[in-house]
Amino acid sequence: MTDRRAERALGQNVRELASLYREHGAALLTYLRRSFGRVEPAEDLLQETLLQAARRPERVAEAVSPRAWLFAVARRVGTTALRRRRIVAELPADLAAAEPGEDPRLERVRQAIARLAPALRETLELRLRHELSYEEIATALGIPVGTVRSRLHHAVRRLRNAVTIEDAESA
Amino acid sequence: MTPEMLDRLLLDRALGVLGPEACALLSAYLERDAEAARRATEFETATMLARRALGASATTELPPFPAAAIERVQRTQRRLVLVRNVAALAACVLIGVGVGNWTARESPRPASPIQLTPAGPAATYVTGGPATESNSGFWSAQRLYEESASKKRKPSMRLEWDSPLQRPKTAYQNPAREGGAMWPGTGVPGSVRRFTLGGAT
Repeated sequence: MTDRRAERALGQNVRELASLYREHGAALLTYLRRSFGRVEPAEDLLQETLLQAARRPERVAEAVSPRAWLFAVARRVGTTALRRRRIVAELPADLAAAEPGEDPRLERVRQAIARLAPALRETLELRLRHELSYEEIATALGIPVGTVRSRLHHAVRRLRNAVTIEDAESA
Repeated sequence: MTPEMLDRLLLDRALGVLGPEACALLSAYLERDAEAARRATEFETATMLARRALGASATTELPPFPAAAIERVQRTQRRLVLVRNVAALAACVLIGVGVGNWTARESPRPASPIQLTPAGPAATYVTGGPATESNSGFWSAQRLYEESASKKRKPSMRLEWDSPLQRPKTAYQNPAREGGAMWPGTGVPGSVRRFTLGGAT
């Protein structure tokens, strides 16, 4: 490949990544911040995610869902950082804070979410917060689609029980 | 429809992954089943509250896109791929040369190499003329003559029948001797073979 063609290909790859960054960057940053700790490491993790994606541009082109693939890379980067730097995830504080006059059931749901197993919580967040499909969540987490569905159903049943039981007690 | 199957459909609808046609069919079913409709409402309330508790993917301020770092990484990747390809090619060539050398060492060599001699007088005997350029070289008449002359030839049998009143005699001609001296012969060199009417004795 001549130098000019190589430069053009390089420029094309950078533009494609920039476009993906504009489209999914915010969701990735929120996910990293929520799942893997404080803000500064989350931005570093996001940059590392982009660099990993830049090392394998053919994977981005081949992916059925580039968004799911980016989430998978972000998760791998965050997991590695967690193991290496021992960042403690501050999950309860990252839930939307209680506001005065809000629905009292909201606090019960927050507590129920905090009590969920990490795998269920992560799956629930990817579906309800980031609006990933079952297939995209399966790609991001590296698990079968059936497992994704089963985890989400289990999580929603637990939340429903937390709401309805409290309602029954208060009634 | 079993209760487990119905529950799975209700949960899928609450999570927002059920298609529009399936949703419409499910809604029609729920109109006739009050208990199922109540469960559907509970699931949808739980997911709605969970969405609010988790907070929608807020508009976060993104750091700038690290274009320079990405270009640097991609150039390094390209160089690594080139180096890897060149190393693989070099390894193939080395393996090929190594295998070639090994097979050459294993195969037997001739005892003495064929030596090409310049054209000489024998070439004149064969061609009837002086040695010329066409008489030298690998396929020259000179070389072929010398090779055939150096080969040992089997003695050839010759039949001598001087008179019909006498039995024929065979003899072996020794090609190595000058003039081809005859051996009186039977079936083997150095013996005479006599023919009888019934067959050879």
